[in-house]
Amino acid sequence: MIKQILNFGDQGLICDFGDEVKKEINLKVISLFKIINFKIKNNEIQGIKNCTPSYNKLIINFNLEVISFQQLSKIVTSVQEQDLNKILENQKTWKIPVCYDEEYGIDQKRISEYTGLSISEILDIHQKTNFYIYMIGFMPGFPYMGDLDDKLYTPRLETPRVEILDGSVIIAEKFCAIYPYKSPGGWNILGRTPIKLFDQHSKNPCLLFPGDNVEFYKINLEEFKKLA
Amino acid sequence: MNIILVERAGTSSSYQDRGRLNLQYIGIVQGGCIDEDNFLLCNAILQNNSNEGLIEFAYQGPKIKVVDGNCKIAITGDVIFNIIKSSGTVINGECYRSYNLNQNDTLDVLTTSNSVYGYLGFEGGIDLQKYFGSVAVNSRSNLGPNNGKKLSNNDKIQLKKNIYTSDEYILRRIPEKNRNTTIRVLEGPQEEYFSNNGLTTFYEKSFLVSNLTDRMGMRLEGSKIDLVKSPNIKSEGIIKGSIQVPASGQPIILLSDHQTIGGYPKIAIIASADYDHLAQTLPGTSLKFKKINLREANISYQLKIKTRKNIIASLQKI
Repeated sequence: MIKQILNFGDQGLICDFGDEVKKEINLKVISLFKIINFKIKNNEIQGIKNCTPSYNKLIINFNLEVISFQQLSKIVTSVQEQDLNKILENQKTWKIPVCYDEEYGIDQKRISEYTGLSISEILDIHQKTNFYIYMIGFMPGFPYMGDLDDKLYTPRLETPRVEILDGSVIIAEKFCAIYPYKSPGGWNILGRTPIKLFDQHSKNPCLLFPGDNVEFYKINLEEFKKLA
Repeated sequence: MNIILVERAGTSSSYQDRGRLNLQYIGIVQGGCIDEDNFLLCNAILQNNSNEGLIEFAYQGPKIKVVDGNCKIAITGDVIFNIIKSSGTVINGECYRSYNLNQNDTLDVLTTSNSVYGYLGFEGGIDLQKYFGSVAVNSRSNLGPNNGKKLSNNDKIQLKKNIYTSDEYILRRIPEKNRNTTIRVLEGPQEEYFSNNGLTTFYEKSFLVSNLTDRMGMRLEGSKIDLVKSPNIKSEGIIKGSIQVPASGQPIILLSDHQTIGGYPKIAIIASADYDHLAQTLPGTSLKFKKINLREANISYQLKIKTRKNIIASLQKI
């Protein structure tokens, strides 16, 4: 349940669910996010600019010309614990193809050296993991997924790369992610997916949703090029 | 049809409105105009819808030529510009009023003065495709019309329709020049990550606005702010105006095109009443921060809104 409600500046409200990074806690954050969104759609709350779920917090950005911190706090505290515990609907499991060929999996050797596992063991564990999307953000469509098997724990690069290809499947510490765009970055690159995670021209511009699950499967370079 | 040619795009010019709402959960920031007051005043002068898209420019603005048709424009901010009539006559432009431009007239936005951003609007609005309900361009994520890019030389601006009327309008009251270098802030959600010394440094020393400043963020330089805990927090949602302090101890203020999630501790957040003014501050300026409470912040914001309304109410036909 919500541990505390705090203001974040004069147009922000933080719902803090405690310090842990755990799927059970994050599911409650996402439930609250959905409840607030439902209230926005039904015009029960006005003046909300954004609601951002993260591991253990829901941060609401409101328009002070329309609603005050006190009014919004009341609405948030009126949400019942039992509503947060309801099982999320429409949680999907996505199967995402990844080309793990050397051309794209440029940090496999580094991960292997760090973990002491062979490259085939690493790829096997990665494909057997059911990842949970804690949140999407930083840039459009970027999923923060966990939890990576402890055996694959590898720190970030000391010096981030200037450019990582779009579609790169990356790991660091207990997380896995995919870059929707070309970007600088310091995570370890395990492979590349031809699937577009974000496209502003598409009807469903963002493929993934917080609370969804993701599994990866291997494709070869030829298949990658066909799908890209 | 009204067609306007961009002869020179300027330093950093882009289409902006008030941005996209309720999409931060998929990584899309609200974005939109940096200086909301000047954005709204520009549309008010032109009697446009208050959220009509216009051109935001930084430093040197665009030089545009009316290739076909007529249009009415207005510029807000602290901006130096000329209108070169097709006859060759040059008019020194004044901000906060409208001008009629005819075929072959040129508008040359030379520079902003003692500020960063200015706004150029057209009566009736620019014909732009909306993405997620907004025409705001976020060039870092390639979001928005114009392929999500800033304005370039030789772009064509197409206006929505020819609703040209010869009347011109002026705001009899204009915003007061704000030279205040003390910026009001509220306590950040991670104050406990900083030592007492770190907090004293932040609130008592001056910080220089660095050149590494854009629509995404403003980097400050000054005495190192001392952190007592690890400089990483569990990544969480960002709100514009957040002041984060990474391990270097040099604060970064997140501006309108900020990333949606961040993992650095936030020492403070800019009071909404001071956000526009802060974002208009030139690199090289020395700033200080003053902590206020939520009640004071609410009062100061209400005053800002009231002042803006009074300015808009002063619009008159010339």
